[in-house]
Amino acid sequence: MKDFKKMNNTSDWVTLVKYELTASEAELRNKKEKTAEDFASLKATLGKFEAAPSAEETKYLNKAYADLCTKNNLSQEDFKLQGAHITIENDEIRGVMNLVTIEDNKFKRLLF
Amino acid sequence: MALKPLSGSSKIVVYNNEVDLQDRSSSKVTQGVSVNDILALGSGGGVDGSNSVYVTQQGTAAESGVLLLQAYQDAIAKIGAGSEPSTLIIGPGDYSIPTDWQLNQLVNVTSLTGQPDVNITNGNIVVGSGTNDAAHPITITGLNLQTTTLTVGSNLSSITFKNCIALGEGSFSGGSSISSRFEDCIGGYNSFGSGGNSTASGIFIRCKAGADPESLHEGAFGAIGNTSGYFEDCGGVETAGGSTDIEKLFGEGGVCNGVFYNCKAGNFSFGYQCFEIGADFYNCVGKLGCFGYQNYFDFTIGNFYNCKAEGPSFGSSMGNSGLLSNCISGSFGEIVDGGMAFSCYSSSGGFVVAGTGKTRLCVDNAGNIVNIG
Repeated sequence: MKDFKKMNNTSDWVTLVKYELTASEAELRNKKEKTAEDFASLKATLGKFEAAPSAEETKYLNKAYADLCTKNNLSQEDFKLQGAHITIENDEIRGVMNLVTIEDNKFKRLLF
Repeated sequence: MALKPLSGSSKIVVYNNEVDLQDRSSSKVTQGVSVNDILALGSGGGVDGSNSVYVTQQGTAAESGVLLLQAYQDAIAKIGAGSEPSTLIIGPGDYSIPTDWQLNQLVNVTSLTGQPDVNITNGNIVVGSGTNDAAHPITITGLNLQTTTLTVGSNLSSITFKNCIALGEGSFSGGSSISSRFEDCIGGYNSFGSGGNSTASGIFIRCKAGADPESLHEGAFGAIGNTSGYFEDCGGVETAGGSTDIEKLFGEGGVCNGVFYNCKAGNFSFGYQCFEIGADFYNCVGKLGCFGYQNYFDFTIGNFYNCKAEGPSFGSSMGNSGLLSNCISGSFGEIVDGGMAFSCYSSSGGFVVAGTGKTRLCVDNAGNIVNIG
């Protein structure tokens, strides 16, 4: 099973990776007032939860995304993507695409 | 004589099939049975339907727990040939399950009353991908886990949870993307799509969450993670002290997207320390350090309508490039390129703009109307 996400219209897909924070990483994460240096470290830590999908996976994900938009008569300019979340398990795809329509500012959820 | 309320010892009169109800002498051929006796019929006791199984508490909680797991297997056997879901109906009571309960089939699971009065103890509940079928959606209703955990797999978007309580840490979480529908559910610390950089991507209506029983930790709805879903009338669970101001709700440390209506939270909520905030917030109320407080690496690009916070909030580190309308806070972050604050009130400071940022009809702490940019 593999999980992927894309969090706005122009961002790339990322593969989600299971990762347990170390004690020091968890401590940094829980620190209430962080410095710029802390944030830089945190950003690097968060990167451990993500990886780049393969070229083949990216192609497949982009196609699924484009097909869902086409099926719902949506073009990129019609909506503000809030999150596209896809799971591929046993060669089957499932997931959601959360968006806010530009025209009427409404939340919409489409299923992959 | 005053009538007493109905109880388990109340009697139900059962007529034989051949009795003519217009015949006043029919009472001679009726039988009475108590409500408790009816409930005790249990699974296989004659009240199961062709696609449903009914189980009730019988004997000890441990014995009932075993019966419950067996009844779930019986319900699986009643799933239709075309994958039409069957239903497991559970009577109120205590069920101590000997192992974790794997929900991984197209079986609706519901308490008899619809209320969270099916008390599950000892084991956890694990909801797997076998429950997810867009053509045959299922609902899970009325389960109550006071100490154990109900985890949900990734992207199970066709499942609805109603009136469920799961207070074990990490309940209604588990998968990388929690995209189910949740109505009137209550979770504990790190619930509803929290922890491990996961995303609360589902529909959340009137759900409450966020504190462990000792209130040592707080956070839920994308805490230590992200949001992209729809949240309405959600907020903190009431703690022992009576407060619902739970900290770190609604996105923390990652991306805070989605739509929030009438949600309420404590300090450091609504996109706290996130590096991207693109959500729309309507009528939401936070405390100190909310709505993009200490956001980093990017501007807050979300939109805020009729929202209220305290202290430094609303993009207070890197600024706002979205719309703030009728919002109140101790102080606001800079209104930067593309941003606009309209009719906002800063109770302990003023407003600062940069680039093409603007304020219109805003009021500072001295009562001055501020139109700049």
